[in-house]
Amino acid sequence: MEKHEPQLTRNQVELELKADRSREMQLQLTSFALMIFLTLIAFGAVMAELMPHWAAGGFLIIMAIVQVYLQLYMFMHMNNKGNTWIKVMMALGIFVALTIVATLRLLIW
Amino acid sequence: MGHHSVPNNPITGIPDHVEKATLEGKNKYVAFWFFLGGETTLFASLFGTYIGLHNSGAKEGLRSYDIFEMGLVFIMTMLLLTSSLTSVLAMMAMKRNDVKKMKMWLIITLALGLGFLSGEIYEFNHYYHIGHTFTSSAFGSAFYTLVGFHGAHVLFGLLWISTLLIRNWNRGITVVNAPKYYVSSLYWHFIDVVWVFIFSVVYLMGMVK
Repeated sequence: MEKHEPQLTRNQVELELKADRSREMQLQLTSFALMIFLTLIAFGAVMAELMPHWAAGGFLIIMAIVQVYLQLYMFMHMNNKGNTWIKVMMALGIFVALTIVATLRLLIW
Repeated sequence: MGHHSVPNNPITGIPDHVEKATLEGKNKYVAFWFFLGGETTLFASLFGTYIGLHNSGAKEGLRSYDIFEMGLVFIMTMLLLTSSLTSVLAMMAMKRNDVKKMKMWLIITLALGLGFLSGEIYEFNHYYHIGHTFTSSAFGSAFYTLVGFHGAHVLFGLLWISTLLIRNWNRGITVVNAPKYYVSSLYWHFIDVVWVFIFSVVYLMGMVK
């Protein structure tokens, strides 16, 4: 007996497409709201002088890393399947970047 | 180049991942990420230099916390962040073959980017007049090199997206032009990624005494 894949009607395809789109839209708008929120916290904490000097750098860097993660994984879709090479390249880039920043930080006084 | 094996989606009339429907599109996509990996290291060298030379040789009254205009920087940040979202919306419109909406979102992206760039030009001009220049101190050199290099990326992004829009103004979305739009939007997001580190490391950390 031959098996037949159930043929999706045009209507079903359209509904699926619409559901995908609204899911994607929701995801992107949520990411954007989070990015704005993180930015507000970072600016607010500095302008209101809420942080002791020693904590400011670490706090701001963490805020920046979370926001950049959202930018790369949501806006730029780095999480999509088949993006292994992209992840490898960015990981290499970030590794070299950290080495450069650490080196220059220690080298210049 | 027009030949591709990926079938059109019956509803949208273009392939589902139109930016990666051809070998050329796929290659552009991967190669552009390779380029962004390289850009990461390039900006890292400028950030490292800036961190090392922060306030170095700057006179009293011309240190980072004396001169930075945080209100303006905040507005510029919001403009660029929003332009990153409108660029996402443009690419979503592209994928559903809605060329009108795509063009509209790209034009809004350009307007926001132009607003950001105007803010930066105003800011640099202001610093120049109070004595913080490229040659006034090691701090000045490092500051203008890092922030100016980012500003140059914004300018290049504006010219790139405008050129694509003008060249393809009367064309629909095809497997040929979709990868071009797509990588330009990746570039635009990357500009925002760099700016996140600039407003955090240069401006916000610069305000902490």
